[in-house]
Amino acid sequence: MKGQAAMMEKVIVMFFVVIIIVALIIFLSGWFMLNIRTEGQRTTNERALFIMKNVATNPLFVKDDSMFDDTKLTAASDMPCEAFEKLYGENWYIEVENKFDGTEWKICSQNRRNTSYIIPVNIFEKHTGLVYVGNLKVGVFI
Amino acid sequence: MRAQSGFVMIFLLILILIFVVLFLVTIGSTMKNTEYTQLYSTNLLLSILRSDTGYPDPECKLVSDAIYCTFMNSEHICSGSGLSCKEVAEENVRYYLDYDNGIAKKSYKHLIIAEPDWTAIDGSGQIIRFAVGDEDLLNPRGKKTAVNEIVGSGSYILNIRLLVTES
Repeated sequence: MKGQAAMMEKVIVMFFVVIIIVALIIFLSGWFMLNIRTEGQRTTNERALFIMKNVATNPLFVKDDSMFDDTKLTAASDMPCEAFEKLYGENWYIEVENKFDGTEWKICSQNRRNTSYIIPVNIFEKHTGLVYVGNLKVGVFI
Repeated sequence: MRAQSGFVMIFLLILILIFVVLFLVTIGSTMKNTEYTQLYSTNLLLSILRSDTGYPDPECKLVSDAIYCTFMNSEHICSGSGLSCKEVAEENVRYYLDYDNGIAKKSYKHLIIAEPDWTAIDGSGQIIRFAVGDEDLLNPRGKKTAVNEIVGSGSYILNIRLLVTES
């Protein structure tokens, strides 16, 4: 009887040990996958932020830091996307919206899954000389 | 033997606890993006201050002009509006901080506060105060992002601050 009980104890301990090992394997592989995804997401976010900062200060689009010139935006949105790929690579887009009248300028915009950021900016209307507020949206396609 | 199985159970519990903590830390680090919040806050304040109010009066042309005039010339009425500088400034800032019409994001709480480096008093002898937004942000507790812009020159410097926190 004692021998049987000892045997049972051994089986239970072994069972727990197996559970621990299986749990460890599941956790480590899950954690590894999560880290890869997190790292991928972080890289995408960093790229979107980099493009955003660059666009907001690039004289191709702005009159002053974070103050977009509407005539430059109109000219840029008429240009083919390839013209900007030398600057920022592929798979990204910019959208600028004037909150006053709802005018929108889209550069390289596509209806695809993406990660995007929005920040407030100013829009300078050249023909009136007035400064409005708007939003700059920069996205990176996944 | 009993001690052995007890030890294994405790080890299993500790392991589960470590799993949960590590998982939460990983998730937490994914969510945080202080760089974006800083960029958003800086641009929000700058965009509001540099925008036109729509009135040609040089004292109230830009939102920053109207805020400065609130402290420098509190009795001034912005031509074409019938409103004082403070009313024009508050109306504009409130509009831009509005979640539906403005440019502020719903996921944040905002407060714009202007602090002169002199004691500004209005016609009735009251100290002038300018604060628009969620005044709970004045509570020193809690994590906030603060950005500021300096308006004015000489001995009349106005510090305009934007406080932002996640809602």
